[in-house]
Amino acid sequence: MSLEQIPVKKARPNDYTSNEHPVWCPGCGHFFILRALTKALAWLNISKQDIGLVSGIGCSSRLPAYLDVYGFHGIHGRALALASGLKLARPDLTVIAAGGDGDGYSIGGNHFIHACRRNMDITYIVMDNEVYGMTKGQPSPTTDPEWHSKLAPNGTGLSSFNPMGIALASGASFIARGFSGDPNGLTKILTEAIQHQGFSLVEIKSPCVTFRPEQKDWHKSMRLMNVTPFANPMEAAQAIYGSDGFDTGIYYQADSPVYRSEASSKKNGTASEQMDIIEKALLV
Amino acid sequence: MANSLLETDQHRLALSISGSGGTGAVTVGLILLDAVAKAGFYGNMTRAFGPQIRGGESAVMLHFSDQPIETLAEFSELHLALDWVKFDRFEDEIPLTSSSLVIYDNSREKPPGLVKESGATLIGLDLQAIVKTLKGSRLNMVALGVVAQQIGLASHFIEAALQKTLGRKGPEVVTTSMAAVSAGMTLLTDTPLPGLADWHPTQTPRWNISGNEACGLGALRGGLKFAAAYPITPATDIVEYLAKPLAQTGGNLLIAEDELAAMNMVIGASFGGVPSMTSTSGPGLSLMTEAMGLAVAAEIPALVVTVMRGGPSTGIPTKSEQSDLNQALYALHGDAPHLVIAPLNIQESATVSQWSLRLSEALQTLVILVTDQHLGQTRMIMNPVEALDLNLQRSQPSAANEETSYQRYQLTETAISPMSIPGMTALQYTADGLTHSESGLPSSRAEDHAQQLHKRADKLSQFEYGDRWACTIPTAKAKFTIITWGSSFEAVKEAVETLNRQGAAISLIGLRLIMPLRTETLIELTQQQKVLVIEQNDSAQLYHYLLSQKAIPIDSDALAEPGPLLFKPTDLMPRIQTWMEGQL
Amino acid sequence: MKTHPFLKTHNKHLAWVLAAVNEMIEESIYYCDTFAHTLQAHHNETAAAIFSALSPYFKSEQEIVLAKLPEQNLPAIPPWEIPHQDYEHPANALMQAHYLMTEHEAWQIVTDMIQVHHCFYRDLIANSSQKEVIDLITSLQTHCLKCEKICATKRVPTKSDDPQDPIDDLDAPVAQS
Ligand SMILES: Cc1ncc(C[n+]2csc(CCOP(=O)(O)OP(=O)(O)O)c2C)c(N)n1
Ligand code: SF4
Ligand SMILES: [Mg+2]
Repeated sequence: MSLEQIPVKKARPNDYTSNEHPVWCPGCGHFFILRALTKALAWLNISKQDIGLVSGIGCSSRLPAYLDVYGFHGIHGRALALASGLKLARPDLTVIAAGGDGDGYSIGGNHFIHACRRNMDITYIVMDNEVYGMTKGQPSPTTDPEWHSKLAPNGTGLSSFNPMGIALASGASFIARGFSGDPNGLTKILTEAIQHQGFSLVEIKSPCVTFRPEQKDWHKSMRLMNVTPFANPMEAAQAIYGSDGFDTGIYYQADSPVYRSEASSKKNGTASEQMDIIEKALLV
Repeated sequence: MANSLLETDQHRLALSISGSGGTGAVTVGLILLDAVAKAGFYGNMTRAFGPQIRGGESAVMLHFSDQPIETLAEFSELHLALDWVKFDRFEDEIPLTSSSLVIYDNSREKPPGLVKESGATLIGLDLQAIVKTLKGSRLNMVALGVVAQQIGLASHFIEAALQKTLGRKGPEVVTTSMAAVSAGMTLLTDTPLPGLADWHPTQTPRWNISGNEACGLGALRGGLKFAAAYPITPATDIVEYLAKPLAQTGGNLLIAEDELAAMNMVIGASFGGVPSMTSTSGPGLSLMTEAMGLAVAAEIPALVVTVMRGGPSTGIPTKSEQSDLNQALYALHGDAPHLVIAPLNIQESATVSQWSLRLSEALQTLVILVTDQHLGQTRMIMNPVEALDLNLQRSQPSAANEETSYQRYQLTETAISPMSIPGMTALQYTADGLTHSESGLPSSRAEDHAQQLHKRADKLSQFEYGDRWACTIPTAKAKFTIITWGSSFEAVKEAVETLNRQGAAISLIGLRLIMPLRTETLIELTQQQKVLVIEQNDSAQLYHYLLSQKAIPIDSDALAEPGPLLFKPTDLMPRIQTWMEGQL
Repeated sequence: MKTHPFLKTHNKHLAWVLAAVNEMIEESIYYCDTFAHTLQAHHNETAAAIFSALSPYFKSEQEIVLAKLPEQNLPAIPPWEIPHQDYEHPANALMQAHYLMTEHEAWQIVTDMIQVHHCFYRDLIANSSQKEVIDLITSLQTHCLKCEKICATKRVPTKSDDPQDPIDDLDAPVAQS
């Protein structure tokens, strides 16, 4: 290929960063997710003003402030609901929701299920550190049963939640696991997820160096990008339940019906003509 | 004539219909309402139900007049009982007196003791026998004929109304039903009721509309393009009504998984630049409160309609009460200034909801529009209401600002900051529920906190709301002023007007804009006055709120009573008199 | 050895090499600046200063690249295309960071980042037969060596020579939100 044939990049990752610097604990996995996201957006060359990035509350949910896009740092657990309203009202936007395992799977668990079920064209990034980082290290739904903490001195004794399995069962059409310590693979997954038409869950293992320092060793166990996407939920289920949680890649990608705005299927006539019809219907 | 105590120059007629097990009492009511409307009159219809989803006992109460009418009747002049199953449930809603005429189907149960004790004239008819002679006919249609005959309603009006309700089931259904109606009309030709005979019909167009529909219509007129909600009685009708018109006008409706989601969806859509609302009732409003605080803090326009029912908890979900005022005023955590607005009757519900939606847009804040089961679910025949011509827009940053760095929460003269919407170039920002500086970046500095808190309070308190804040009916030389709100207004107004005709001098204030309160104006209006606050809740919520704002004199009184029974003018009059005599 | 689906083969032409190298250096610059900032925010001035000190060196390394072809003319390479079999991303070193990291640890991390550059250059040279590529990489390697030397002279020689090792946080973490 000659120089001229190769497409020239238009946007750069740094174009998407805001003037606000992240203050996550040095070494926190969330840093690498932020960078991978800006790289994916740059690669896709999406205009900054056409991106809506919605989060909840948590260390992870601080993400929007660090990007120069239309962001919404909402309330704990409700990012997906807010993002769904935004996407339906503004189908032209690229809508991304982001947050932590506590935000998405615990307090926001119901919204998670129903966002999967609606299968709107939203990318959902979960920065899973298997702990509530922001409130100082309490067990979350993805924490392993034996992990000792102040709140559960002997561990919770509860088996952990399988977010990808729930997403599959609930109707999400794109399901992937990433690792924040794999910048390239993660960028690839995020790029595909944003491009995917439908609800994409990107569950990212992201170490919390402060409350789960042992997660620094995650990189030793991860098997990067070693799954192939299935379009058949049965096969995907096998891959999801067959993994010990350390295999990254896209597990499931299907062409399922996407819940879209009806605004475009508007009846004939202007809105004010329609209002006349609506008002006339009230007459005796 | 009924309601003689009120000495009104209106013609009025009060009917009620009850029945169980799908006998079709509600259908008869709806057809009668529409037929009387077609005959050129006004009216309203309220309902009462048993707890069953299907086949339970239900009742409708109809109040007709030759002028617009919103009040409930003192007592039922004509009651039609399709059967008597669980009739005692409606003892409160359907007051019978010795002047009442009660018609019932003889083939069923005998009238219960409480009906006999009322002294009403009882007429048992063998309706079932007629039904047997007419193939495919229904008892409720025969009974409809009886009632039409009793009140002097011509059969072609009934036919036109039947056409509207049953027409889509095919012409045979209408024909069969009309045969039953005609048969019913011959059953009882004598009547003690004056009926509609000497009423003057109007030729003007009128609406057949419920308060909930009016509320939805007003929002549509205000430019509503997005609604999200989770079903809850008695608010669901609003979004059910909106579903079709929203689709017709290029908007969207999202069925939320719960109220937590509904409120956040509204915030998301509104952040996207689209006028948005949700509707709910007390329990749902409880779930929405955290996100409502987010709308206040992040300054996102949002309209929340709450249709009050009896509380707390599941309370009396199908009946009315004004007991969620405190919730609308105080449920939010932190200092969270927002608007609380309430329509005074069904006739103004459309305009008040249009105004509310536009205010949320112009002030970039949360507006809680408070109605109740009565205002929401009563169906009215009323004069159509024109849409308001309001110039209340969301302030947007001008393109000229684009090069300088955009400050989403800039302090301005009006305390309203230009709000960019996604898609606008170089005006990106992150909306945040965290305390933030003018730029929108999180800050925990005392100065930023105070500045932004004051900004959010000031933009609401400085705004010029015009005279729509209340309906004031001053009376010359009045020493007494009564303040009320919401669904209590119509009854209080009628009571006050009647007493004034009888020589009293009482001024009336019906509050629409409850927060922020027009305190100074209220002080002006009520100083030197003896003030009574009337509301339908047990703890006198409005009264205590007005006292806390020092908006009314310290020695003001309250007449507060829990639901679910609405005030009636004739009940209120003696109590207001007692109060004026200093005896309340 | 792990296989990678995005692995790209050798003997790339100059424009590709420039773009890939630029991508890598840009990551290093970004992370140096970002970590300098967060360390500062966590009041670890010493470690922050080390990241701040390294950033200009990476920037001048990038200048060597951009002198050949301005950034806007660089070809677009998907950001996930791993340049060689053993490629470690510069960010990987940073996963070992923590807010109380000692001077020794900070120097170790930046040295590891330079090492990533080094490895990449070595691989590119080994797999290239084009003179312009070899010339470019040679000058980049020279620059890297210079950086490494600086790290070597400045870094505290051994872990045990760190002023306080390990440093304890006398305060518990602060809960937010
Ligand atoms: C309604 C509500 N409940 C509780 C909290 C406290 N809170 C804030 S963040 C958080 C947990 C965050 O955990 P996670 O989502 O996993 O994010 P992380 O900090 O681990 O990235 C909690 C419990 C809150 N802000 N709001
Ligand atoms: S507490 Fe954990 S999750 Fe939060 S910033 Fe620190 S390392 Fe990251
Ligand atoms: Mg977490």
